[in-house]
Amino acid sequence: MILSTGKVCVAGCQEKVLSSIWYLWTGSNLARIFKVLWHFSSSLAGVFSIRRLASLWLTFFLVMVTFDLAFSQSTQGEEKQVWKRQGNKWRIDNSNGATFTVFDPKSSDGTGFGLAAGVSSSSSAGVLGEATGVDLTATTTIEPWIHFSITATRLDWFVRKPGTYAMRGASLTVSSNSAVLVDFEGFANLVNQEDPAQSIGAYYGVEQPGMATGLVNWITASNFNSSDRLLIFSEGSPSKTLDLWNMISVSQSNSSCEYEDEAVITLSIQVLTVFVENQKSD
Amino acid sequence: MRKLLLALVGMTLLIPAFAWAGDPSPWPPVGAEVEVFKLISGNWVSLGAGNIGADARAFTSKPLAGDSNQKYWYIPFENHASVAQWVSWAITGTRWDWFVRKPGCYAADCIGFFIASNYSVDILYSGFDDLVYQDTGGVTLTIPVWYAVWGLGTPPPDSLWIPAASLNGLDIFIPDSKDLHYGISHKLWNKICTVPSNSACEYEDDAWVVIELKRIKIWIDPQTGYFKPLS
Repeated sequence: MILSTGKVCVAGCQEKVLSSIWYLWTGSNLARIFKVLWHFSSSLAGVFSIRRLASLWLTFFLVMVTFDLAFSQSTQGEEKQVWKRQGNKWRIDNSNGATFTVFDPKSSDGTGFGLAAGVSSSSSAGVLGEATGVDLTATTTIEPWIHFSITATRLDWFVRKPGTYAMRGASLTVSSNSAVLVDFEGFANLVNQEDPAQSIGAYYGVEQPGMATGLVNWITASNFNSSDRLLIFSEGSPSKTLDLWNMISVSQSNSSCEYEDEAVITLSIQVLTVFVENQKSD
Repeated sequence: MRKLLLALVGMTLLIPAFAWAGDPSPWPPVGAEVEVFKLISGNWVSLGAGNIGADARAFTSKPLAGDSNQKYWYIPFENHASVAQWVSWAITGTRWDWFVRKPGCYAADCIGFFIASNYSVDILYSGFDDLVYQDTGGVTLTIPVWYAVWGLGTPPPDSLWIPAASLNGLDIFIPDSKDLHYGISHKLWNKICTVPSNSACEYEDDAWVVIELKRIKIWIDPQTGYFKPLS
């Protein structure tokens, strides 16, 4: 009966707009207005002329639409206090980790007018309620989230003599409720800051924790940019850790100088799935 | 000439004016030191961490974390290497001994000299002089000495001979070049002229050759060439 409009909406996405339009129409207010008008038209068909009836119909329609728009503006829902479980205790959540909004719980005349529900544009949780005897639909929208930490974003080599050296540079730990793509960009050899024609060969490897140096799959810096990793999480594997290894090859031809490369690791949520949990009372 | 000592007092450390480019690594470095491995004969050998004599050390810094609903997280990443100046040199001998039976001018290809470095070096000379009579009395108390850098197997022309005393203060600058990186070899010739008035005796001079590295990193201890302590 009631359509949930659960949509995962990342800040700024167009789904918000589409969702709002979809709600405005399928959220039944206009459809119900038409339904009521049709009902009245049928009842009054024998009393008024067709012209008079059309005039009444149009006037009433405009009044209802105006009322509905005004009403919808004023019923963006009431935001409720959210509590968050921390250990064994419930604490008031002020972190905006979730919001809870209740939309117009019911109408008094039982025509189905007042039963409006939806998800506020910025909410990550919404609820839909109906009076006794009417279906109750709870809609939960969970936005994709990501938590990551990286132990270092800068590597400093101090090299006294030519040679090939390696280190485990950083550990990247990611957890998310969605798949996450780890994209490497800008990785290149380390460039001499005085003579860009000179460079130090750089290689990278992404491995599971605990990998021995000799087993690292070394990839040249330029090829590393196309070595993206897709991380998929599950209940059994809620987070992933990747070790980022770095190897440099300093040759005799490398002058004493500072060498540098700047790159970017991009984490992006890949699957904007609609995660809706509907619970209907009987 | 009985004895000529060429002592290479390696690394005199004058820090040249050097415009830092980019974002040089500070010393002491920020962040945490990590274990470094060096590839030696196909095997990774741990250099450990905290070793001031290690060939290389590495530090990691600027950790980052994020926790949000945003779709993209851009993590800036920097990889920086500071490469110190190194020098590799060899000399075939630091003592020359002449045994002269009769007066005359003699020349010899005394020593071979090899130097390689990844930046400019200066070769400085000090203490060079004629050979001095080592006993009391005597008639002519010195034996004049000349030097010349010459790569062929026959003595150099007269114009290339430099009187010993003229070497002192001479600064031979070898600029950074590909040749220098892979090594430059020279031969140093020596000439002496004994005269009838030189009494039979021992004659000697001690001198120094100084190799100066022109770029010493702030994290290098100029006296030892190793890493400076972190604290």
